[in-house]
Amino acid sequence: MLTRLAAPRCFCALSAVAAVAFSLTPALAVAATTVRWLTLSEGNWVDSAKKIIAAFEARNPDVTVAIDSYPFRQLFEAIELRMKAQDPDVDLISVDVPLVASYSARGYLAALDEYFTPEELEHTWVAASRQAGTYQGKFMAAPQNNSTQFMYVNLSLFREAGLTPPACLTAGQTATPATVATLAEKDRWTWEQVVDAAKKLTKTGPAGQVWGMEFHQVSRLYQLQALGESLGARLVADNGLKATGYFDSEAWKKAAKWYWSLFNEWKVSPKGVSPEESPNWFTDNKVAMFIGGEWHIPIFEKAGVNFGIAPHPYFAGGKPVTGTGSWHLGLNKASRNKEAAAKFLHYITADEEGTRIWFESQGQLPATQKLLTAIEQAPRYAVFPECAYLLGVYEARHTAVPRPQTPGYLQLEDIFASTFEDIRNGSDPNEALPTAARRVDRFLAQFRK
Amino acid sequence: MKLKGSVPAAFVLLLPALICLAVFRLYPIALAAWGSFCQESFEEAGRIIFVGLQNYADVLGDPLFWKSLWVTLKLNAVINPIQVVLALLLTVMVNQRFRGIAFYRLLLFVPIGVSLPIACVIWRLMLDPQSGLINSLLGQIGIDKQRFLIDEHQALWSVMAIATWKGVSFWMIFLWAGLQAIPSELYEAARLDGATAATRFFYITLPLLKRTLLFVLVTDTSVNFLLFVPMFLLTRGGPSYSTNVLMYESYRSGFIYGEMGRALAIMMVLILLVSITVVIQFYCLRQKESS
Repeated sequence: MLTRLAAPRCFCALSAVAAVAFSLTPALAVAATTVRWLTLSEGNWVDSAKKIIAAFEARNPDVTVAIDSYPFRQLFEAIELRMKAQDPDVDLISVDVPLVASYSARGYLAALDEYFTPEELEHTWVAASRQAGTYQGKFMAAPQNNSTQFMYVNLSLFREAGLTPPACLTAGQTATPATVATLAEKDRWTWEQVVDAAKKLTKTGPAGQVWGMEFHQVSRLYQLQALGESLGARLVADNGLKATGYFDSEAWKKAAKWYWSLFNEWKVSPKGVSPEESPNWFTDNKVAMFIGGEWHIPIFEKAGVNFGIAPHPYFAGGKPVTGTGSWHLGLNKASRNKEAAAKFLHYITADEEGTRIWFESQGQLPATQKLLTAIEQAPRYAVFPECAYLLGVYEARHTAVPRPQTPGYLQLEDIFASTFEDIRNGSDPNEALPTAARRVDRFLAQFRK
Repeated sequence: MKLKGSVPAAFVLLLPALICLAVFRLYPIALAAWGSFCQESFEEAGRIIFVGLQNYADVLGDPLFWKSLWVTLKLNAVINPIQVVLALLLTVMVNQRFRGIAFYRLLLFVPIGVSLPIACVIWRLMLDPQSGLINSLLGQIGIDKQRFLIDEHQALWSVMAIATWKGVSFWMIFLWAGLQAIPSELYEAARLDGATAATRFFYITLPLLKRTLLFVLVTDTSVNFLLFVPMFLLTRGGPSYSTNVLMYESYRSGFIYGEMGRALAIMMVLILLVSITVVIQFYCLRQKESS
């Protein structure tokens, strides 16, 4: 109970607190703009995001950026859920490039044209990346980075097995665009050579089981598309509306049979390993050849693996093909903080400092013209492992094949992944692919109406 | 007169529950029913268009829907009787009084304290074909390594085993509570009359536990028709759609493919299926009760 004397004191104290609080309100309001970014949680992505956020916040004290990160597959589900609900608490979303059209058509993304000058739109990114982020003439998602694929070679495991590794970029080596071109054109291994070596490398040793080879993104379209494409087969028709006759073609069946054999006949790749776990098998010296992206370079370097970087293999008689395309950044149409969010989006995708920080931290092939030019010209990128980016630039210009342009990409990607996972687990490719192609067509039919 | 006077009071007392039922159950079901007749427009972003029975026609014409329906029915035909019978037998067992019974009770009720997602993660590690504990134990007794969750012939059974491990202890609580309500005098009288344990079970325990059993059976069936977490965390409907229950197919349509109309149409079929099954269960058990 308050005494007569205490009551006025309490009132005064509360008034004083309230006065201080009200005087601070404008300052708090300025600092309160928080941009929320729905993004990926895999690899070193979150660490890279934290670095660039710190740099951005130092330059823009009125904006803070919070990340809401998910594993690869869950990210798409979270985006579907929150964009469909028009959640205003999400400001930015990481957009896998084949989904730009799908998200734009369904009204998830706000156009970005007003946040960039015409010069920036024209000259910042390589044309293919900018075009991939454009839908019906509007710029809907800005390229955050590009990607390429290499074959990482564990040199220690090759030496222990007494085998000669494929020609590759190794520690202590320097390279130029010309030497890298020679490596890619003359010394690229075929999948047949890879399997021959993998059979000899797969064994149970004192340190446990060693496997010959492994894909990073096991069973995912991004990485396995190169198998069929290397044999000249596409996944869907040019208009993106038909999969039968493409996904179930003889060439794709051959590619899928090869994939099946890796796990079930030759047994040179481990089953039951997820894409999240697979890089650890390479860093733990359990896998001799690892098909992965350029973003694995800092991870393997940090882990102290004795590795080399070889060009991505291809089928004998086929053509070299590599995966490409990566993450773009989109602005949620329902966002309440579009201006602040666009500021961060501009910083991470177009700003000279921002793009450099992102590239140096994340290690993925950049999409900006300036950084690509820097890679080709700066002496720093002539030395291993940075010289691998020269190989990345070569692949991007000569062997990269984008993922299918289809409004049903979500369905295609999911059906592709579950089909190849089944093949990995022993399903017959000759039965699995026609079933999968018919299933994709069922979904694509709605877009043909 | 007295009954009439109590009706408004009863209604007032039930009102909060009825409001919650309407807001959190009936309204979402009505929304879902409406949504199952609609699709998103591909010509105008965000516009919802009424398509009548189109979603249902698409779903019923899709072989995967029928496969998912078959998987759902197979799962429920096996898991519901197993869970209820196991729960009943274990409840009768833990209701006994002998030295060390508290330890057995603790063991049997441990799964309740583990959430289903965590249980799934632990079971995934234990069922790992390469380095899982279960295969190590099988190896000790000379059985070859099994593929469990990555084998299309074993995955559904593995999911059933996990769901049963988790579910049985939960249903035991209800049955145990039901057992406590049976007067002990009945058992004493039966013993004096020379009734065996089996006779006491079939003529006292089972008839007097029927209402509790009905509740457990109906609720267990509803829960298992909507079983989703193991498929989501362990198999994602595979391998070869062998664990692709309707619930997961609906989730996949809505949240992976972004086709909410199709997802809701599947969901309405599932609600219909659960309702029919529950009505049949009520009818069968009530018939027996009245006879």
